[in-house]
Amino acid sequence: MHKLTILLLQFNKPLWLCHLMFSVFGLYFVMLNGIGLLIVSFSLKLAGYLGATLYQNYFTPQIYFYYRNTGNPVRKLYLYSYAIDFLLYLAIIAVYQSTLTSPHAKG
Amino acid sequence: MLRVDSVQLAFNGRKILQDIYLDCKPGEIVGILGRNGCGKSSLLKIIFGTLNPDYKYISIDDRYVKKGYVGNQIAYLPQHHYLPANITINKMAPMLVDRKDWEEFAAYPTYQAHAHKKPGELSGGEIRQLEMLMILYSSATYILMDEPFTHISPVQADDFKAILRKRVKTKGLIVTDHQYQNILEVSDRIILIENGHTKMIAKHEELVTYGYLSGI
Repeated sequence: MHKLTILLLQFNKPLWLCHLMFSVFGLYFVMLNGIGLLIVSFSLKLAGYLGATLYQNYFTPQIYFYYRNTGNPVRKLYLYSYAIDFLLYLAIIAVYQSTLTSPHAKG
Repeated sequence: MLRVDSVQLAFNGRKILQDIYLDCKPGEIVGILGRNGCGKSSLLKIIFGTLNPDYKYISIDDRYVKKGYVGNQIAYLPQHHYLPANITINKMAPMLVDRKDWEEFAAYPTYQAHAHKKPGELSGGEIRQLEMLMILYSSATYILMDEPFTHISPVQADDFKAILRKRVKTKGLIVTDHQYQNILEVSDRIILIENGHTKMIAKHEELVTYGYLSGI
């Protein structure tokens, strides 16, 4: 498990900036349009994942052999890293929403 | 024992591999030779599990293997560099190297000299040496090496052959390279791929008979 955590961190190193950028876009979209359009912000996040995957597949596919030689399928690493990022995104949205609807926020 | 049987591979209707059989057991080095484009690299990728042929049967100890790399059964040294450029060597090596062989691996001067560097800071030859060492010291029982001698100097090749002989005690190695003399020198058995078929080579003279070499 410890080894998989390190591998996921290494795998995400070239991707985290892209994830952060699309999370900011998504949050900004929710702030502008309201939580009712949350599902649209999910499609923004999905576009980010697609872009990151295509970028790696095109520019650095050779590094997949490093991860495969650790015994892990690349698909599994993508799935885990995107799942973790998506959960973080949901947590950010939840924090934003609870801040907005709390009595203190209404002032 | 690693057994590869009945591999069939075609690209755009052209048959590349069609009558393939090879096996390898821990303790031996199997050398694969063949002309450019005969399918040597493709065969290694099929065994590793990253290239899907039309048909294959690969087993380890009589158990069918779908993807050789899953669970660290088979490791693979590709022709090109495979280490991510932005991670230091000392962070990647523990992910690949078997824990029980760590001290022996970490004692290599190449590792000690470059452990804190990223692959982007090293020369092609230095990266290749480290990549080979990490694969040879991985926990995989079977190791596939595609052109390990191509980007290294003759002195480095001699050192590397000594390491191969040391590591083969517990592993089965399948090695292919165009530098056939190194392959002939280091291998216990030679297999030639000719017109998509594997041919077991009993005597080096047969390489001339099959037209792979003009003379020995």
